[in-house]
Amino acid sequence: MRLALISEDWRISYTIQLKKLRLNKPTRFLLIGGVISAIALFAAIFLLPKPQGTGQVLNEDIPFYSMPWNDNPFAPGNMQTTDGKLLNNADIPSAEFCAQCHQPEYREWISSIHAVTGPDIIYETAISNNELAHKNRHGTEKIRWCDSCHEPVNLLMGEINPLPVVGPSPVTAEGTTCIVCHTAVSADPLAGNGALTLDINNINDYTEALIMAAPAEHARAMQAKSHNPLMGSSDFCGACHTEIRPVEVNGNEPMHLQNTFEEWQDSEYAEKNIQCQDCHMHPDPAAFISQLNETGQIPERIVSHRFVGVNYLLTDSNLPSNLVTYLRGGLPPGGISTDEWKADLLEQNRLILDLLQAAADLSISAPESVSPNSTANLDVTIANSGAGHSLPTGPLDQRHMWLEVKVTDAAGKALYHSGWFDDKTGQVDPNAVIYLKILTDKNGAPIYEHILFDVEKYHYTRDPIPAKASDTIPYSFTVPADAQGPLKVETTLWYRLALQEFVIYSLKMDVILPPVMMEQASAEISTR
Amino acid sequence: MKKNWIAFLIGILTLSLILAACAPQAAPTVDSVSTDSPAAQADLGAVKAYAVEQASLMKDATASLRAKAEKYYAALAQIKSEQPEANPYEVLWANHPDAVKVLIEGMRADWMTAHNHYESNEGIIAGVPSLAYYDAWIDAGPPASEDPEAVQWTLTLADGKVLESPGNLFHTLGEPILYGTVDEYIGLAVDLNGDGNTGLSEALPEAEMLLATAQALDIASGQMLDAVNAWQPTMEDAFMAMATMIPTMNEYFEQWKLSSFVSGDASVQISFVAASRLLDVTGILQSLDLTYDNVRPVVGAVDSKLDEQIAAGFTDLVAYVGDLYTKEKAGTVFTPEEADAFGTEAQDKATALAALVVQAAAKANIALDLEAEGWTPDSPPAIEAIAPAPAPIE
Repeated sequence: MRLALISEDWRISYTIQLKKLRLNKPTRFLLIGGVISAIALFAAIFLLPKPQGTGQVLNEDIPFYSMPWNDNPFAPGNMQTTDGKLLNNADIPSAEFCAQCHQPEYREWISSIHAVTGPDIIYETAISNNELAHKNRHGTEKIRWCDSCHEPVNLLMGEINPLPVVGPSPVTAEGTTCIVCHTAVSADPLAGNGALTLDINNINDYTEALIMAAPAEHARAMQAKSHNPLMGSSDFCGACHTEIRPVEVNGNEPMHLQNTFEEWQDSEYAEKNIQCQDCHMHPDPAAFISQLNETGQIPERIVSHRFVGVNYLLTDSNLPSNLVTYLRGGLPPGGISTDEWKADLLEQNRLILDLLQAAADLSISAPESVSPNSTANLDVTIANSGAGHSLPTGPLDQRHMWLEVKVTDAAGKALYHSGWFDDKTGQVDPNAVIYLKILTDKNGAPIYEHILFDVEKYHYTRDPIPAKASDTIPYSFTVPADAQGPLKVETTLWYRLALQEFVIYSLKMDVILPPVMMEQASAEISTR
Repeated sequence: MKKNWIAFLIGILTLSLILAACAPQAAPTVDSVSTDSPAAQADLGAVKAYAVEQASLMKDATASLRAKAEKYYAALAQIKSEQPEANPYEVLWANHPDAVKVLIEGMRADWMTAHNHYESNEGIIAGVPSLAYYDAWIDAGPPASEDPEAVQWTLTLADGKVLESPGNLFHTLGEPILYGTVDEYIGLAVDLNGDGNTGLSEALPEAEMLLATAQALDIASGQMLDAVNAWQPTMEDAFMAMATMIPTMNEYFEQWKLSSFVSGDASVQISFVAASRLLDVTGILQSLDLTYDNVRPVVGAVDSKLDEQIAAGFTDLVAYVGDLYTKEKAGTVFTPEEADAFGTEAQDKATALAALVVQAAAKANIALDLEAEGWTPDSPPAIEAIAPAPAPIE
């Protein structure tokens, strides 16, 4: 249909064109009214003045806000808003709101760790310990460093303050919720500590009706990747997956604590333009790695909001007595039944375990035969074959990986055992080959409870393995005179989310934190 | 023709409705702010009178507790002098079970009375910087073994044993001693209630710890009463108390969840066996609500709507917690999951209310300074227990 409304003889054109449709007059007028409405509506969207943003001004809207170091309300974290204002706690769209239209993405996100970066008990406990350790030394304000990534909404609305200056918002229980990522307009991955700038105070310019009427405009405002390439870039992830303790926290020079972005940047994955999102936002990251390694081709990008990582604990809904609900800080936002949620968690858990197992390969180099009463030597090689960053990565004062090597004779008698795990105490063989970062305080005492505010130094028990690199560990053992061949060598690469000391002393829980198997290999050695 | 125009108008009306729906929300109107602060209309004297009354009643109860503890100690000392080889607790219990029961029940009642009056005052005592020291010493402070920055004080028992910063008098010492939740504070486990078993809270208190704690609690209560009498309340005190104490709901609900009132036999807490933490929350809110009632004119003068919101917030929060406490007293045993949910709800209400109070302080030009140094004594208290002369229990 063509309406020649601007033609001088528009009446004729209109009559000819509309009559072809055989519409009666009232219907035609209704149609014309509707078309004028649509044109006027789109004109209104683009021509009417934009409403003022809802950002809050310090000292005007939010009194008694403490800024001990400078006039940046988010310091010592690096998060910013485009207008420099705080977020209005009464005006933040929740994930549940977004779920009205984006149900699949909501279901993916809700079982992810991003959904509980703030409320999970492990984080809450660590934060409380750090805050308490710096009581009367601006401990609360220093938490803004952590909350830039863990509780960005709480930070942005001004909740992280010694005095309660803002009211509650249900969104603060959502961790890294939709609008945090979907309003980011720039990132500084090398600065880290939440170095994102969010255009977040204008998102309520558009009502639900306008979102429906102009979805493209909504997509632009929500920084869809088609509008903002940052959303598909590792730079975006690096803003939080780089952690540098700032000088404000304890007066020491900045201390690099997590370098996952730089690890990726130095890898061949960066050279090949494989971004974090390609793997971690793939619906099945292990399948992505497998396909990449087998074909050398980057699989097609398919986006899932599960953000599959390594946290096998907070996704294990088979834990007893609703422990996973407790650990995650409670049930998720609405719109999903508990059974559905637990099923989603189990699927997330499966993907995590698959990813961990896809990250590394193990191989054993052992002699074909050994003589009784001799010393046997063998090498075990761990290859970082699947991770686009070092292995392990992240907060390595808690997350750790170790190698278990066990040699038995044909009768099943253990001849050698390194890297055992005691499932009664949760302790690992102190002589194990373990990848762990040891933090120490100013007195040289080890810090096992993630009190990053007080770290003076750190060292690695063994350096993490860079992407596509490997680490070979030599072992030797004595072959007894009565050893019955063939000897069996079994190796297992274990991964664990936290130290048992953290569970006991920080969480104060009588629970053994189990490790998960990443990879296994075995070999046989005959006896002469 | 008429139908045509009706249809056209329907189309235009549709446009109007859509545009109306899309229009930005009107900015909320804000009351004009007056810079006049009618502090004179506020009745801080009533707040002080309430605090003095509660502190006085608390002191009466601690004096009564002290007298009973001394009587208990004297009775055991009498037995020791007469039968030095015997276990004095066994002898006391064997020969005077009824008198001992009355004494222990009396001491527990005194502890409860003193504690209840303190809780009804806690919002003020803990929230006012010049009085907050007494909250840490009497009710809330941890022992030095748990926190290196614990309140420093020394308690010397009558037998000469010295305890350095042993924690607060109500919950680290008094309650576990009187209710037998710490083994070393038990003189003898007995069947106090006559049900044939020696269950939770059925024990004769260890006399040295009981005497020293009861005397220390009475001395501390007396000093707190003196401090409250000397207190010159200010608007800053009143708002500081509300701003810092209203948002403490989470902590109390968490302790409630872990206490025997909710967790039952699974609880491993040595405290909060005598009184539910909900009582504490109710008491704190009661004193803060009273405080706000007496400073309302200051807020009402600068923002009447805000004043009404705060008053309604107090009513809502007090009713919410009070309702839970009433149900618990009537026999309802809540589950830990319910305690979590109630705690979250209460905390949300409290956070919203506290934020309004802080806003009100700002509008009324009342300074809130968290960096302000609280009062501490020139030297840490050192209390030495004084043993009474031996005397029979009856």
